[in-house]
Amino acid sequence: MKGKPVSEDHLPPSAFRSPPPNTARIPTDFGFERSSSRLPIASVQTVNKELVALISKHKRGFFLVAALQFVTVASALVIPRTFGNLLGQLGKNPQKANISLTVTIVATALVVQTIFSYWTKVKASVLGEFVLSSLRERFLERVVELPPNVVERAGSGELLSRTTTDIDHITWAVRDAFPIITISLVEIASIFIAIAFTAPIFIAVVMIGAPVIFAVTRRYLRKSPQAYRVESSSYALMNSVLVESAESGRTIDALRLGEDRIERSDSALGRWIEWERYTLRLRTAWFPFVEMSYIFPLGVVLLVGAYFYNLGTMTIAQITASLLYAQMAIDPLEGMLWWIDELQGGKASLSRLLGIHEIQEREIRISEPDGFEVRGEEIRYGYKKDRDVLNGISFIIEPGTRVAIVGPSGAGKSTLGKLLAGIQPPRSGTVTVGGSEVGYLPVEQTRGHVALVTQEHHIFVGTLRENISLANADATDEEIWEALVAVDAHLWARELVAGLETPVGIGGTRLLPPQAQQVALARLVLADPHTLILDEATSLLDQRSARHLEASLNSVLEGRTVIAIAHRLQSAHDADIIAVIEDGKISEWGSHAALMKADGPYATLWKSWRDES
Amino acid sequence: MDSLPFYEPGVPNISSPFAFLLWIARNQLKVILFGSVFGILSIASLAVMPGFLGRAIQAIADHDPSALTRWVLIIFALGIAQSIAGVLRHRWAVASWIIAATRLKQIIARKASNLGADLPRLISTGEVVSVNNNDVERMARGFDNIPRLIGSVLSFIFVAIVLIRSSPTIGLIVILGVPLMALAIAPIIGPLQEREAEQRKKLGHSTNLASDTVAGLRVLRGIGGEEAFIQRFKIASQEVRAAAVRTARTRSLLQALQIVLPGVFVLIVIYAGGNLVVEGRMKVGELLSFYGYSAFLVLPLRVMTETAQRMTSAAVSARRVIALLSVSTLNHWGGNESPDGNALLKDEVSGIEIHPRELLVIVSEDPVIADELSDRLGGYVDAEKVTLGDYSLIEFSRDAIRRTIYSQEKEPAILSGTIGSIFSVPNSGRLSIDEAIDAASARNILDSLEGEGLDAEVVERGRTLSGGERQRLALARTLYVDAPIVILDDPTSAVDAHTETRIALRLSEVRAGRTTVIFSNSPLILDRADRVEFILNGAIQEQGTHHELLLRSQRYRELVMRGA
Repeated sequence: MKGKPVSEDHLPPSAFRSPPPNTARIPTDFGFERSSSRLPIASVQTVNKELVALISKHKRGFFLVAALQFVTVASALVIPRTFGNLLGQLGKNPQKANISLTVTIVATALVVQTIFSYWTKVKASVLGEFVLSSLRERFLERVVELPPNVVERAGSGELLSRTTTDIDHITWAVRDAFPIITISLVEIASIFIAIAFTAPIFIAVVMIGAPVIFAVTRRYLRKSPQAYRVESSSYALMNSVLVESAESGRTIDALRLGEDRIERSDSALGRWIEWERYTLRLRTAWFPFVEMSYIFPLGVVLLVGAYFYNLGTMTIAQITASLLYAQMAIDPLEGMLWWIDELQGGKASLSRLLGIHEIQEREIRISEPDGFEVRGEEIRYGYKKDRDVLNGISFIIEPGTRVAIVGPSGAGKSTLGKLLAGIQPPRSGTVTVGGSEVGYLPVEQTRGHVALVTQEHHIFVGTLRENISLANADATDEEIWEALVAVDAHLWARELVAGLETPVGIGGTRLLPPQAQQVALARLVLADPHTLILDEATSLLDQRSARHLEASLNSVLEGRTVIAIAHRLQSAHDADIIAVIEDGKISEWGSHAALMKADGPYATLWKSWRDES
Repeated sequence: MDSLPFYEPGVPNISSPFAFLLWIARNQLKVILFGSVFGILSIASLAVMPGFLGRAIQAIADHDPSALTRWVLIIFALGIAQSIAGVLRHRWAVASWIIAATRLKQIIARKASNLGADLPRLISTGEVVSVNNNDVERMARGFDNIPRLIGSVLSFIFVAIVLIRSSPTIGLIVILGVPLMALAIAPIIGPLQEREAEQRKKLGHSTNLASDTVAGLRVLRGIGGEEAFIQRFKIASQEVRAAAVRTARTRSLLQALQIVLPGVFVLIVIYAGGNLVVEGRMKVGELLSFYGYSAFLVLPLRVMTETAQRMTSAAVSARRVIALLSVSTLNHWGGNESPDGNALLKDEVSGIEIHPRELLVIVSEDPVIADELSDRLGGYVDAEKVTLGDYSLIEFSRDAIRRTIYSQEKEPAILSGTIGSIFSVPNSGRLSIDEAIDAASARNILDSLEGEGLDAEVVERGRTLSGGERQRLALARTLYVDAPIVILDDPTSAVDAHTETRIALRLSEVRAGRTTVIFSNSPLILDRADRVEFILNGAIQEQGTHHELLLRSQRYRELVMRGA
């Protein structure tokens, strides 16, 4: 990973206890350590490269905007020139001055400028919005491909703040800063050309401010990107505190942690303020020098102009026009520098967005599964380096078998489920479906072969139809209803106000957790893979409803391979094969009857579950 | 800004958006005033500039070097004054913005804490976050433009006076023209803001979809729904784009008008001023100044329209913040601070009575009814329908009830932090953290986490933990708090039989002598109960011991007996 260590939003809790750092220390001490589990942040170089690539990709658009802006500025520049000429004439021989011609030219120029300015800005926005939407979409495409373990380790709040706050920041920057900077650059260049045509000597004069602007701006830009990056991280932290408070309201209330939340939120706020103040200090050391550099050339133009006027080599018209030009340049210059500053915030966010692309991609091995057999060989996997959760598991599951995985919690059942579904490949050993290693299959290929539903349920923003048809976008109404019937969800789904079109999820009808589990299973039915992995997929339903659901699901899933992880041994009892996992190993493998006869761990578990022991 | 965040952000006047904004302004009047002083200084030094530029040109034309030097020196001085005043204005404006934002965010955080358990019931998280970010930002931005506005208005008056003194006609045209132009621009502001609002709504939707991806990433991955989801996101994203382009059209029109309208002044000045020079009533330098003044008028006009825009959106946002702040809690608590943890707890709706110090297990056919009952007994909803001793729960303060009755919901949240921070909650002190962890059979969870012992880190909301692990950790926390009355809603639904047996045993030991209610249909838990209540359709069907009920009720047997 390239890039310097930069703070992240997920500060250790100790950060809350200590008071925010003294601002005076901040410039040298960016504070927080970078842990390997955080999501990467793209380096400045990567961001710049990406920006250049963006611009060159939309060359034509940029060129069009620049050309339109050139016309806009050119017509604007006609005005001081014409006015300067008028002043010149008035100065020499007032009676000969053609005022109405000047007014006509200025009026025409004004109309052209207005029309082209409108046109430029519209085109610039169209371009900006286009760039923005593709940036946004590309980012999200990458997010859904991320290896889940990376996201989990970094915390989803981290990714969430990138998808929301950072995208918003970039929207700001692209929507305003990009067009204005482009437009301003063209404007400044045009003004210089105009000055060169009026009186070339003044180019040098107007440029006297440049070295100062350059020097202070460079100094500023050396410090500001980092600072803005931390600032937006601290803003994100503030948000995650609030999100947690809002989502865990009940728990916080029960634990009487209200005051503690206020303290946490105030402390995060304090940190953000510290950073706001620091970036404000940076700007304080930058703005005034830049602004002085605007006004300074005006005086020098006058002095130099007077010298040449006395020599007789320059007219009042030339001096006036140049003076007005130099003054006209202030606006675009100021605008540009202001937005370069704003762009820092955008760039900081961009580096966080692009950081996502630096996460190592999942390794893909193209192969076509042949047959439906699920096979595991010497599977080992662990979350910590020195401790495996699965210690060498091997098995063969014939197509159409219904397998129940049971065992004490924490024994590695869910981990095995994830590996079987190809969410991740094992650390060593292989998990194959039809001979292909499922952990390395491309996502779009895995679907259709294996699917996993866990106890974690999530209802997406959108209608009930959109929620279910995620698994199969072309599903007809009939197919969706069949899927709902298969999971016993048709009863309540029929009662919904707008049927399949009822908005559910955030802001819509709230589905109860058991209903959410049914929706998850309906998705699975619609996805129709030959191998299904159910990890406590009915745990939130009461026992009787769960049994009923399993029965109706079984009739739909006839002939499919179903691997169910359940602590409700009911499902195990009905399965063809029961695999008992203890301490990361398969300790027993066989049918209910066989295992009861063997009187081993399963038999004990069964008796204890039935309260017979 | 040194004293930020506030020790106490104050109680806002939220009777109307205007009153709310005024309340904030009054609280930071000093900052706004200082900002305005520098705003006036910086804009005024820009406003007088054309006068000196014109005089300097005149001095060149008159071959008057000493006059030229004088004017150029003044121009330099003005430049320095302007830049210093400008940056000071910026500082005060930012301060004003930060102070307003901080105050608002603190008020919202306090409101969130005040709403507590009601918050997720009443308002979606997305809504809270969007108010706390976007609306607060827009309200605060309403204040940072004030210095510029005041500076602009005064400069405009100054320029008008200068113009009137030299030429009453031009002066009058300007003095009447600028307000007229502002009025001419005004009709666009409404539609522009409507379009902006539309665009924000679309953006909000796409942001919701995006954050949804993150929250549901594992679900998407399990089912292979990534592509379908991305398609939906792309549609939303393209809608945002279309809305943004529509907004840009209107905004560009506004900006074009801001060019052409002041341009009219320039034309008038050139025409009228030119003729005055021809007639010998005005000097060339003065005409340049006039031109400069009229060109300067772009600035006040721009600032005025910008302020109008910001103020309207600040008012709109103020309304949204007010809406959030006006949400009231579901229960209106009383002030009794001393509830008796060893009194009879009674639900008036179902008639269920919980005797002091017993371990009661409630069996319900419908889990939803169990959830409702557990919420009610904990005083989260309809607290007036539950009595503790001789009083209704509602007569106590909220804090007193939470201290006395701890109702653990079905899926309790694990707050992010270390194991140590999860357990840094008010507690009775009767149990050590280790004892609580052992009672909930949660010891082995610690081994799978990064870090040792109490320093072991739990990721946000315990997402890497399995359902059973989260459940045991939450149970350990509840036991550690050790409230006199504990209500547990299906606390072992996701753990295996062996662990459940252990938990049932240790739980009954740890809670001995204190009141405990468990909603569960598991025979392993029921076995340990002092008493069992069996409810059907929200009413008591049977009560007695587990074994009595097994013998007595066919329906009960069907519900709790396991196996084929």
